[in-house]
Amino acid sequence: MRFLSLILANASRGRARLAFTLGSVVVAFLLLGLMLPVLRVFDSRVDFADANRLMVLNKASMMRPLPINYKDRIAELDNVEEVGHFTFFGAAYQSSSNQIPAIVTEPENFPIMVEEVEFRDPDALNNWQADPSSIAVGRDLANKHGWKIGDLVPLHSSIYNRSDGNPVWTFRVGAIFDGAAEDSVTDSVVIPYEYFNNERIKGEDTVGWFAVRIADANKAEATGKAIDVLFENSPNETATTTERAFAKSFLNQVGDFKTLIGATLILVFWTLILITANAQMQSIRERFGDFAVMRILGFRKRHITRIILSESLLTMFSGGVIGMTIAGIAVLIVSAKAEALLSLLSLDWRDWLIGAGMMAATGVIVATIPAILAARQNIIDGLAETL
Amino acid sequence: MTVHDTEIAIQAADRQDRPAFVQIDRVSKTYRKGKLAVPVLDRHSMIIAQGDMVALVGASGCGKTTLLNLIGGVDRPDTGEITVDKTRITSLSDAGLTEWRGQNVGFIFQFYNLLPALSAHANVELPLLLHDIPKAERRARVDNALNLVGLQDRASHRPEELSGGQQQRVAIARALVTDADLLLCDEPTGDLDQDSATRIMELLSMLNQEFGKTIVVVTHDPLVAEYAHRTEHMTRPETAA
Repeated sequence: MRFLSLILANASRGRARLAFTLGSVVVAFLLLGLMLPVLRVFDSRVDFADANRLMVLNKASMMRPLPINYKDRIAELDNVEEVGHFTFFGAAYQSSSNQIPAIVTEPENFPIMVEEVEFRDPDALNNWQADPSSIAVGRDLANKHGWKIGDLVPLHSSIYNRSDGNPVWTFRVGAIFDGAAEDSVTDSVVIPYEYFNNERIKGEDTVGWFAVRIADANKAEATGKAIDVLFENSPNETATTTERAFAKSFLNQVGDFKTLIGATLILVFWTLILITANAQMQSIRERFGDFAVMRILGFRKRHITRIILSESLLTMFSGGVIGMTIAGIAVLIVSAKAEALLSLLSLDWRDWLIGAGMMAATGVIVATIPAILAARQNIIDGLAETL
Repeated sequence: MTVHDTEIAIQAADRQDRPAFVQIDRVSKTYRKGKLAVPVLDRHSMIIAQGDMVALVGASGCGKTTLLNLIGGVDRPDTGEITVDKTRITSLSDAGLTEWRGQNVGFIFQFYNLLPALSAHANVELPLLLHDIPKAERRARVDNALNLVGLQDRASHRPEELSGGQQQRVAIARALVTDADLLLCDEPTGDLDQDSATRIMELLSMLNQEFGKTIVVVTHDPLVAEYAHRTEHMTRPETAA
């Protein structure tokens, strides 16, 4: 603290350079503050996936269906508690650009298989399960389109036509479900399998994939292997994985988004380090004479090192806090206006912790070379700089 | 210490009736410029009594500033020993030498060497930051030092806002603030006009006479040398390839 006035005075010495250096730090941490919540939202989708649920897919391709009669054979295996099945419907509402997440499944075991949703109105749940042509709609989606129980909703399927060749399926809203957790996304539609299977023109008695709830997550690998062995050498071999692993691999498939963001962040920070290190080195180089005088006055090498490190950390934390604060405000605005995944964005304490770590690490890295140079400097040579 | 050096010490002490304060014993220093060896001091010996004011004079390159740096512990001799106030500074470690310098020596340079980002007050306060001194006491000591050099009304000014003579007086205040007994001045008037130079030398002379500071001044100016009790004429050693 004794050196604080000295550090602040030095910081204000080259105001234009300080402004540019601070500017680059602000931009870098603004970017970090924007990207971290996005990465976490994607991670949350992975965390959301259940380690106690296995996904059984067609080994040839996840787009190829599996016979529904696999269900009973899977259910007989050890460690299997419940088996459900799901099929992508490929729904659009009103226009083809307005895509809606829609899956086909059995209403009777949907609440058991998917614990992330809850039906707060038991009567509505019973009605939906009793009426094969009705759908269950997520609260967010119902609110978005103003749907109420009993409304008729025409959905266009890009995958399945009805038996008369019509791709438009009209369903009655039977129930509205909510998210079990605060950050659950409820923007989807659930369609009863029996009705869908009877009405579709092709793919009868097949499903997209099976979801298998297991008793012991530690035996997930063994159970998955047992399922795949069961259907080995059949026309439709299976590939079984945990939902969590599937969610991760799926995210990787859609462009390896996290790696892309991570690589961008690394590049930005590398540039930041180069810019600030260059500015810092110039600043230190200009002050070699000052440091020589300070050494003559009794300042030790460690004092000089501490001053340089403090200046660097001060720059990083000042710029970093400003950048992340701006990012926090931007994230608030975006999440308030956005829907679906982006509505979950928030810059929370975890991001600030990472940000603070990055500020400290960058501050230390940037200060290292100038501090070494200043500490190694010969006093006589340093004094010559002042002439 | 050799018998010869002891005799010198006794003679100097007798002459000035003061104890020896700085003892330089056969000190040599050679700088290297590529393959060229440039000796600047060759077995140089000298005694400076406590409270003495000595002028080091001689042609450029004769080693005046080098000797001053060696006395102040800024540089180290190749051979020989230097003792200041009973401390053999040539035996101190780098850290020990730095600490000793900060507590015992005040430096005054030709070009003042004030830190441009700091006010006059902050520049004078700088050496005190290294000691565990409460802020109020630091302020009092800085105010006293600035009063002594007549610059109390310029305390908040930065060096660029002060004249050369004023900057040099701030530098003198900085040298005094730790109450160092030894002041080393390297061409303290070299960058000043006649009037400012006279004021600076009168100030140094006052510090020597009234506060008993031991002062060593490197100068080319015969008028500056006149303020000293004695003048040490230095010559340049032979340059060897």
